[in-house]
This record gives sequence, C-alpha cells and structure tokens, in this order.
Amino acid sequence: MHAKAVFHALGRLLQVVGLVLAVPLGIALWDRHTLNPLLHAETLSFLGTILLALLGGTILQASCRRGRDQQGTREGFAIVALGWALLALLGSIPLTVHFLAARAGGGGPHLLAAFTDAYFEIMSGFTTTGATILTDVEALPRGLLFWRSLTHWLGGMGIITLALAIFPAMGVGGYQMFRGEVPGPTTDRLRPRLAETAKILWGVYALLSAAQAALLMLGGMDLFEALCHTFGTMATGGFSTRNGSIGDFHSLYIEIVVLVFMFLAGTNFLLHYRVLFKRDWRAVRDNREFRVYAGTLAVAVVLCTVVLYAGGLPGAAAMPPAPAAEAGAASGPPALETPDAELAHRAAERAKVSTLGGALRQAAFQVVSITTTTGYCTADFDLWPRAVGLTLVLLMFWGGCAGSTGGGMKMIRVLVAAKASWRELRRIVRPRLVAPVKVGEEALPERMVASVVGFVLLFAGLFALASIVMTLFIPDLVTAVSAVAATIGNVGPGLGGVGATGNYAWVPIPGKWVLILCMLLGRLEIFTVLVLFRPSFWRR
Amino acid sequence: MLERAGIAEARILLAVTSVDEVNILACGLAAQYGVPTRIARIRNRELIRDPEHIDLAPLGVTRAINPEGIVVRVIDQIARIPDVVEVFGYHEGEILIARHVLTAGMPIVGRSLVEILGAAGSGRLLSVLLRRGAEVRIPVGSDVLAPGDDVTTLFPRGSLPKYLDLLGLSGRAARKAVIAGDGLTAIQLGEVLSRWIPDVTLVSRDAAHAERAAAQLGRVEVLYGEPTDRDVLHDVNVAGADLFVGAGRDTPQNVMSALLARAEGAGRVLAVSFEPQNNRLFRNIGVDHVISPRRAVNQEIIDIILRGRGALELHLRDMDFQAVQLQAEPGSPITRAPLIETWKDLKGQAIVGAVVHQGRMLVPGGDTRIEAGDDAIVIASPRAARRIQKLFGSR
Repeated sequence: MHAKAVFHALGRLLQVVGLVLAVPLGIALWDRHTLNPLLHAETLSFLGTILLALLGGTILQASCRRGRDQQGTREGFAIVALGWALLALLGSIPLTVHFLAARAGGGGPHLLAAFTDAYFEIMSGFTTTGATILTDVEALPRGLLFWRSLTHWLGGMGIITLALAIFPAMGVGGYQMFRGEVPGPTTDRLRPRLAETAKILWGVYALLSAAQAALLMLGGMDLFEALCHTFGTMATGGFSTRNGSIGDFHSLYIEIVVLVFMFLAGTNFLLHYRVLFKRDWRAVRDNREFRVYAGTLAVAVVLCTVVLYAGGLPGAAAMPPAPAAEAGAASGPPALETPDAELAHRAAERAKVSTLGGALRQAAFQVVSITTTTGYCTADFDLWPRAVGLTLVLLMFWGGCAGSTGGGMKMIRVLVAAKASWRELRRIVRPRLVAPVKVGEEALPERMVASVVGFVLLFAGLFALASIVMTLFIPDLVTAVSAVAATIGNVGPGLGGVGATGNYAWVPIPGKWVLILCMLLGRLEIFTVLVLFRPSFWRR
Repeated sequence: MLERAGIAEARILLAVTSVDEVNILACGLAAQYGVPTRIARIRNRELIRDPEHIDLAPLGVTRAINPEGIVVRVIDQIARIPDVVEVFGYHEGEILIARHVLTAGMPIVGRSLVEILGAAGSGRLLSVLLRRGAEVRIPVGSDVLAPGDDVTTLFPRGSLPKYLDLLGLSGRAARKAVIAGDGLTAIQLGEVLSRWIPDVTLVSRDAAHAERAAAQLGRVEVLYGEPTDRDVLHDVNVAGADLFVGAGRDTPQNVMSALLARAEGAGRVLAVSFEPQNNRLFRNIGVDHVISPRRAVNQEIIDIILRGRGALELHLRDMDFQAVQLQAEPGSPITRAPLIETWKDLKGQAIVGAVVHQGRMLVPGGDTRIEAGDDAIVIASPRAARRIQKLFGSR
C-alpha cells in the first residue's frame, strides 16, 4: 500500500469539497440579514470547514506529491472508502456546530451526541440514504438545509467521479476508484479516457437535474426548494425541506415530476447518455436490466394498488402496537401526541387510498420511491397492509439499475443471482447441463457470476448481522430490521419507528453508528469497504 | 502467385482457403485485376450476418459463402419435411424439390394429380417425377397416386406448408431435436432449429466447446457428454426426439451417435459425413440422411457460378433422372415459342419444373414462354440432356 498515493488523492477530494461548500456558505450569507445568532454560527462553521478542507487538502497534496503516480488497485479502493468517511466527517462539521449551538439551551451540549447526529445526517446525505435524525427539518437554517441536500447530489453520481471529471490527472490509475464508487457489478467506460467518461456521466446527471428543477419550479416551488428536491430525487436520496416530505406540497403535478425523475435516476446513466446524445432507443429496448427494472416497478405498482384499493388500510385493532408502547422498551420512537391525533392520521391515510385513482397514485409513488431507494413519501406506508409493507422492504433490497444513483443490490445482481439459482435447480435434474448465466444475449463469465452471488450472500449476511446487533438497541423487531434494510439499501425510511412519518433521532448512539456503517457499506457496495479490513490489503 | 495463375484473364475468383482474411484479401486483389465475380469463403458469421454494418463489397468480395451455413440450410430443409426421402434446394433454398414415398392414409392417395393439385389450389406445386415399382417417369395429370408411389415434387419454399398439407404431414413437425457436436455447424444448426423446434438439445464432448456453444445459443439446452454414450443419450431423452443430427467434426462419431440414437428410439437420424465415398454405406446401415458438406458447398458454388452460364445437375438417388438448372441464352430456341411447342419432342423424357423470371418462381404451363435470362429447373433423363442443352443455348 502506497500511503502517499492515498493521501495525495484524499487531499484532492478535500479541495473539491472545500470548493463545493462555498455554495451553502453563499446561501448562509444571503440569509444573514435576519441577525439570528444561529445563522452566525452557521456561516462561521461553513467558513471554518472550507478553510480546513482547502488547507488540509493542499498540505496533503503538497506533502504527498511524490506518491501520486503510485496508485494501484489497493490504493484506489482505499481512496474511495477512506475518502467517503473523511468527506462525511468534514461535511458534518457545520451541522455539529449547529447542533451544539441549538442544544446549548436544553440539556447542555453533548459533543458525542451532536457529532453522531451530524455524521449520521451527512453520511445519510452522501450515501443518498435520506435517513434523518431531524425531528423538525423546517427549523434548520437554509444554508444547512441546502448543504444537506447537496451532499445527496454529490454522493449520487459520486464525489470521486466528480473529482476525476474536474482533475483528469487523478485518473492515473483511477479506474479502481471509479469502479469502487460507481454502483453495479460492471463499470462500462463510454470513452477510453476515464475523465471523459466521468464528465459525460456528470454532464447527463446535471442536465437531468436542471430539467427537473425547472419542472418543479413550473409546479410552484421556489428555486431553493426545487434545487433541494432535485438533489434528493436525482441522487435517489430523499432529503426534503419539508417535514411532510413531498406529500406536504399536495400537488399531483409535483408528485408526477418527482416520480418520473426518481424512475430516471434509478436507470443506468449510460442509457440516458445513449438516448439523449446518440438517439439510441434500441439500447433501452435491448437492455435486459432496464426491462426487469421497469417490469418490476409496473408489477409492484399494480399489485400494491389492487391490495390497497380492494383491501383498504387495516383498522387500528389489526395493526401491531406502536413500538414505544411495548413494555420494557429500552428506547422507542415518539408516538403521536394523542389517540385522537393517531385516529385522525389513520383516517387521513385511509382517505388517500379510498379511490382507485388515489390508491394508484399512492402506490406508484411509494413503490418507485422505495425501489429506486429515494425514500420520498406521500403516504404513511407503515399503515398499509403488512403484505404491501414487506413487498416494499423486499424492493429496498433490489434497488435500481447498475450505473444509476439508486442503492440496494441493483436489479442486475438480483437478475444474475436468480438466474444462477435457477441454473442450479436445472442442474439437479441434468447434471451434464452446461448453462452459462446470460443477461440478454450475453453470457456472463463465471467469475462475475460468482462475484455477484458472493455479493448477494455478503449483503444478506451483513444485513442479518446488523439486524441482530440493532435488536440490542431497538427492541421492536420490525423497526430494527427495517432500519438496517433502509440504511444498507440506502433507502431512508423503513417501517415501524423509522417509518415514513418517523425518523432516526431516537435511535441510541451505538445504533446510529451501526446504521452509519450500513449506509457506507451499502453505498460503496460492501467489497470496497470490507476489503480494507483484510490485513493483506495493507501490506506492500 | 495470382498473376502466375492468370488472374488478369480470369472471370471468376474462388477464394476458399480456410482463412477468411486470406480469402477477402484474394478477392480484393482480384478486384484490382478486374475480375468480375469474386467469391470468398467466410466462416466467421460475424462478417456476414449483418451486411448493414459489415459490407464486404468495398473489400472486393462480390459474394460470400458460409460453408457451415449451407450445410445447416440443407439439414434444416430435411428437418422441416417429415419422412422426406430426398430434398434439394435451388436458388439458396428458395426452390425445393422433395421426394416422398406415399403411404396409405395420406390425403393424396387414390386421387389424380389434376384433382389433387387443382382442388388444393396448389398452383405453385408441380409433381415432376413418379416412381412406381421399377418404373420412373414424368407423371401426367390423370395419374392416380397409390401407396408405395415415390413422388418427386417441386415447389417454392413458401409453399412448403401447402405441400405438407397435401401429404397429411402438417401436424408432424418436429417437437424435439438432439444435435451431437459443438463445431460451427452444430452451433449454427442449434440456432436455426431452435427457431421452430421448441426443444433442441446439443451434446458436446468437449467442456470448453460446450461452454462456448451454450454462450452462443439462446434457446438450446447444452449438455456436456459423449454423444456415443448411452447414458448421455438417455439423459437427453433421445427416445423422445423426432430428430437426431450427428453434426460433429468426426464422421465415424456422427454416424455412430446417429445409429445409437436410432437404436434408442429417435425419430429420424441424420449424420454429417466428410467421407462421401461411404455415404451410401451409412444410409444402408440405418442413417436416414447423410449430409456431405463438401457436396453441399460445391453445389452452392456451382449454383452461384453457373447461374446463367450452364447447368447445375443434381442426381436423384436411385433414379435415372437428374435435376438440371439452366438459363435461357438470348436467341436460344426455347425463347422462340411457348413450351407446348418447344417441348413437344421432350415429353415424357423431361419436364420444366420451375421458371425463375426476374427473381420470381413460376410453375410453367403449356402456354408459358421462357424469356432470355430466365432460369429453368428441368427434370430430365440423361438421354434428353443434350437436346435440352441445345434448346437453352444460342449455338
């Protein structure tokens, strides 16, 4: 391992984020005229972070200049995994400062709690998870709100991919970094030069983002909200500027725009490029993963609509007790204030799906949001029939397409793993059968099939392990398991205490760190992170 | 080398080495010497499958032939026609000549040819030969067909369903086929057969080749095993196969696997043979159809080269007749009057089975007048051959 090569690249990443932080600083400065002391702290924290990032980045660059040409496979993976952890650390500074300042009047400043919350929130942002510890999003200053959403956008296409696009020199041996960050089992290069591929991907990403922001503004959002929600959508993140998420806008038009762009964000960006710039519609038609992705969404929407419309929402008696009400619970989410409020909430949710159109609207939005791992909500799907809820949890694992900004295991892996399983089933009957796993017309190398199956097993194993650990901190099984599913799948909302109307604020600190690790593992697709824990990885 | 071979005076270049690139290069060089017809043997299907993207014409190739593709077409023709004794294809398989031995219960048995062909509206089919016992002759409309008759019929490929209807064979299309082999021919055959046969299995004796075949074939099940191993044949349920094709690179292996498949209960068994001298023997010991790649490719090449310049002769097995393809030269006697007049001396000895006029096949009648440039497929006895040549020639 050439540490200097790693530090040199990390220095460059710090510089990139330092420059990007100037945008939320600008917004914070814009809002300063209100003279709110908290806003002062916000401005100063951004300024301090920027200086730290630029100074630290420059020092790392300068001191490790000799190592920059020594990047290899291992250095690439180390840069990606450590880079993401480091950037979340840096990005969490303004939020930590805010939490310390905001909570000073309450129970006294608690650095660990404030830092944990801030790191959770920013890691959730960068990994496009969208899980939040904020109980009142709207109380956050606009600069921080914007930064929080911007972390989504940066993390969606990948901060390292961005750095490769801006600084082509980083691309020396940068394919491993690119591979480590871009989701999916394969990483296609559009151009021989990696920097050009990175530019194309970011270009398409920016173009679609601009289109969505413009459409949202046409629907009545102001520029700030349009941008924040665009970042949340295109990165399949899910951070909103409203406590009620997208549902707070009560606009079918906005829901449709967000739904369409969530779908697009869950699609391989190489396909977007081929359609937008090469007019190659055949690429869409022939892409088996896209067909499975679109087909899965269509089937899930229809099934959920039918169940919701025909069965309606179960009555309060049929629902499991609220996790907080369980006897002996060590911790739990805050319940609704009064039984009346609870009943009113249930009645409102029931009304949303009482008509076929309403059921279709809610089912389509929630299914696309959860499958693409965005996590925006327009309904409290925790109140939906358990069959629908569990279907949504299953879809969390599947995720979007490879090369998209979506999380989860990715459709291609699900497809390959399913085909590999089916092949083994056939081989039981016909031991002499020779059947390579194919996606479309292409037969996949056995090594890739093994890698995919290994990934799926590892994903499932880590999910099981993290779920067991989380039950130590969250007694309610549904909440604990779905919290892990929602973070390792980079979705955001889960079921129970971390459902569509809940948040992660009440999760104990150790539990939050488990979930932070889950988010990172999910975004960097496990191998990139776990490989760091092998001793041989660090040997020269 | 080409100059020493007289390339400057050549009208045709046949580049048929085993290396595609050499063949293309030879055509390119021949083009520079002004050779008008340049035929290259191309084994790599990537080069000929998609003419939109890979155009060999600018490289000097006027015509590419794919040997494996030709063999596969021949096998496909046989496979599509249940119980066929023999089948030939002309014009790249667009015109077919098929032989069947009639059995009791076939719809055409007990009916006259006029009745059969007229009632079925089968204006594009023509029965050109009838073998009854030892007698082989050109049938007439009043001939009533009987069980045991060996009937040879000519029709365009599009009329195959109608032909099968007439014989009552429509419902007997193959449902399961087993191919033994893993070379280019076997793989292409798997691909072609799987387009219309629902269950196609390919057996390969080589693990790496089996992997390659499985990667290329979509709807074909590939098994790794020895095709002459009874366990393997049981594994593929060869007893339930309507068709078995030994299509490997090794003739004895192909024949042996076909015979074993027959013994296990397969429907029709075919074998690819690279030993044409033994083909009759292979048929005699129980292989239904023996396909000789060399013969098939040679016929194709001759078909291409001689279309317009001479004759392509195909000898009908065990019959003293041959199918001849001829092109009417300008000013030739055949172009001067309708067939009823020009053909009157040849009645009973030869019949014009089909006329290809401007790319369209016609079943000729007495009033048909063959024009210069038209291709005709003639079924003739050898003693009529000289007179037919004269009719179609200008000298």
